[in-house]
Amino acid sequence: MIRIFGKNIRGNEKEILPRTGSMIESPGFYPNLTGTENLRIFASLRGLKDPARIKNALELVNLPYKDKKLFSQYSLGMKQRLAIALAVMHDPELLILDEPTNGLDPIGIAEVRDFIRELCDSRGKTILISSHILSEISLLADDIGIIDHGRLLEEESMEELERKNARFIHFGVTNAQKAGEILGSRFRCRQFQLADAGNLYLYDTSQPVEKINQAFVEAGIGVREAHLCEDTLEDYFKRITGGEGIA
Amino acid sequence: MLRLITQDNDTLKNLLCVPVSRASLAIAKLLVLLIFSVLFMAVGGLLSLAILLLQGWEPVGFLPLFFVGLGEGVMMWAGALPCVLFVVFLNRSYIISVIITFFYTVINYILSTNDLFLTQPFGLNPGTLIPGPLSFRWIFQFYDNSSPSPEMAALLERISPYFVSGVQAFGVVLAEAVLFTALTAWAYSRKKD
Repeated sequence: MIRIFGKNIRGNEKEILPRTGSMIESPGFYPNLTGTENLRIFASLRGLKDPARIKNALELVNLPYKDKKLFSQYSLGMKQRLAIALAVMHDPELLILDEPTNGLDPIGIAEVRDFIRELCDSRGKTILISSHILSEISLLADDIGIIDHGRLLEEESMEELERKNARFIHFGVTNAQKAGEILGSRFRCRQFQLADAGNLYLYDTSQPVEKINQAFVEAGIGVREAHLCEDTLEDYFKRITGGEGIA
Repeated sequence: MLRLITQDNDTLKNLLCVPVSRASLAIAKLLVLLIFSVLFMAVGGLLSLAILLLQGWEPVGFLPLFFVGLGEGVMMWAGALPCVLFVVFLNRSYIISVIITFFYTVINYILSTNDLFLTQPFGLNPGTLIPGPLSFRWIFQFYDNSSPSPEMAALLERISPYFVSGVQAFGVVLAEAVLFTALTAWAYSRKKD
């Protein structure tokens, strides 16, 4: 059961939906009308009499007001922005955005990201974003939920996630097995993982890297790389979902 | 077209989020269809009037016939509703909708020129309930039959006892319109896109 504002969404649509703004998949508007005309229809349906609402919503997403360009002539970025304008036009408490940066160029993505952040920080909106672009989500979200096959597997704040995500030193060596033995015997360290025959991950980052490196070389182990790594949101996602695709 | 346009433009999801119920949407679309139907007949009537006037003829009895035309528009709309319901129920593409509409129109035309349906008394029978014959039995009495040809006179003799009054015709039309509008709204609200 899905509850919004404490109510089951089924049966309470008339109370919940006016307080919610949404952008679902691809933008759906009437192609023979301009952006303003499209918003006017929905403003009328929502009972918004003040034309300033439409103007403000379009200004918010950097789209012209009372422009003569038809929706069918809009670029994908403009269509996405009009969809966002529609979602925020009636000043909802909750915004649900499905892939808001879909199809946008890097500048457009950054603009939408800043805009969403601003909506949250200065206007106090609660925003629920669904996205497959984990790098974008990691830059934007305060809390993350991972859904796989319709089940919420994990829900965490970004802060907690960053704290949990492992930092490790990646050693690229010619003999990972032997390297592991040296770590255990000379450095009394067991917090490592042999990724494969040529790669070792050392999770105890307090260990002296230069001495470990020297010990490997003295033991005849070639070291081709040694650097500090951190699990990304993608690595976390793969760990939680088991690594299979969900698209 | 009206049904599929929200599908093509993907506007249905935005409308449902307002929220506008599917049933309201269906009824709104049917009301637009009614307006189109009546306007179509009105424009046709006014164009005929314009042509008459341009040719210098006097439009005798135009006004009653104009209103009969508007009534015919309402009947056309009500007559289309079973077809609309069928299309909504099947939930198929444009082509299937066009094919269904074509066959429905042809069947109604054939039935409205068939004595078997035109000579049924007013009651619960196909000659009353099917839109084509009902419409014919109402409108034909308004045509100018002051100097009929022999064939027309024979036709009139056969079918004139079975003409229906405005009250009868529009009573059936209203009942069918309410029924099919309600069914269409119900069918549309149960559709899953």
